[in-house]
Amino acid sequence: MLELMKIELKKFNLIAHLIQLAIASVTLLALINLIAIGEAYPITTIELSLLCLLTFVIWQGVLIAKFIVSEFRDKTIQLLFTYPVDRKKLILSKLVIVNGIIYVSMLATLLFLHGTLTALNFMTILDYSASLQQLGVTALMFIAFLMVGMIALFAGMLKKSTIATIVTSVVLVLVFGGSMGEGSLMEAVPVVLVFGAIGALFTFLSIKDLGKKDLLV
Amino acid sequence: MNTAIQINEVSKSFGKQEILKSVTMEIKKGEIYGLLGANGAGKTTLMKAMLDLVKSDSGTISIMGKMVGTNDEDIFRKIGNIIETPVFYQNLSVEDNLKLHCDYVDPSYKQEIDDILRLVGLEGVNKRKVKTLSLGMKQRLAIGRAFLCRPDILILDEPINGLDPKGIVDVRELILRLNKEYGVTILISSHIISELAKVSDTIGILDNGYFIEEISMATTEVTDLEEYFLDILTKSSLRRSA
Repeated sequence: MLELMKIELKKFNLIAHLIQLAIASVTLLALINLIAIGEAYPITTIELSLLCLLTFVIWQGVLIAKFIVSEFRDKTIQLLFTYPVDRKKLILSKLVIVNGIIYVSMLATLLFLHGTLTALNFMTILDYSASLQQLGVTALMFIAFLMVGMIALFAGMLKKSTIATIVTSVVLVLVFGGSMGEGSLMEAVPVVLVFGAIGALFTFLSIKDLGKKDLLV
Repeated sequence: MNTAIQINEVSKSFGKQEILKSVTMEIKKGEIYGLLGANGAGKTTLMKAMLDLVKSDSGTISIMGKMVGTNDEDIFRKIGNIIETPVFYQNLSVEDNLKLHCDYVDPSYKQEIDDILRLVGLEGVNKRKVKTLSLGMKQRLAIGRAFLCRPDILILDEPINGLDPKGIVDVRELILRLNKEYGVTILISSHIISELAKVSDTIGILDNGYFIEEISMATTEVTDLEEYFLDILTKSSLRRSA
């Protein structure tokens, strides 16, 4: 499995990803500043996690499309499935890579935003309030977000369509992030956990028959 | 044991459409076996069944003595293939595509990449992105990749499809060379009778999912193959409609 993950990483342009991540983080910071400056209420981890959700669930959809769905669309999966490797492990290694990259990127952005906003709060440029405990809870919530995002894999695999994958990610984000602030679905931990479980189920359904049924691409 | 591929009474349907109907055939080690059939005869489905990409409804397939479909992935170490069209990671270079192939099959063959590119007449293109290659170059590259990790068997589905006359000659000579110099068993499918006749030791004919005839090119006394095959296909068609 580790060997398969290493091979997958060879298909991935890490430098381009890091540049995109830096741009995304700075853009999010600018957005928060636009929202926060002059507001009466302090910025909290809720705003940070919502913005990360908006950004990274869609990004996850893009990577699922790139790493997995495009292999089916371009028929390279037909070649991969004739290699002497377990087909389920092959797809699982891709899922681990996609979610690993997105999770680490989410955490890096969260820490960058937290650090910068803490400094801006210290300089009294804006009002920011978040404890390390809240950050820890947010980091755990991110795992549930990723599972929710996996619904896009199922949708993309149904049609072998990268567009369907990304559109599903956008719809998921609209559902979960549509009402920022109080009353957002994202705030309801049980709701996110239930959807996370549904995401896990959809992931299972997407890959359970690989190697058992005909590969129709 | 002299058998490379043994297919016993393999049938396959997609929905109500029967694609393969109790196909039985044997391919001997070291031979070039031509699989002839019209479009839709079942050639690609049969090859996909050999590679466990489609699951046969009944019957068995064994390759180099190992049964296909028993979750023994090691069987694929012995087989190189091109199914339908040559597929690559278009945005990666020729060399990176071949290195990836070695990573999955056997990394020790990475040092053979230059030799393989020379063998298929593509020396010097290592750094070019695959998307910049012509169809003929991709076809030769796909054969090179299939042979890179020295499989015992090559399964080539319509490898001359879409090629210009020069490309067809190049691929034909390459296939003959791989067989004669390296002893690799080759199964090649095509609907072009004259091309199969030029490279094959044995030709098997699939018609509408039925395996209807097999001809050894060394012993046949037929002079006009085209007419002979058309005659067989017509008789087969008449038998079915009777």
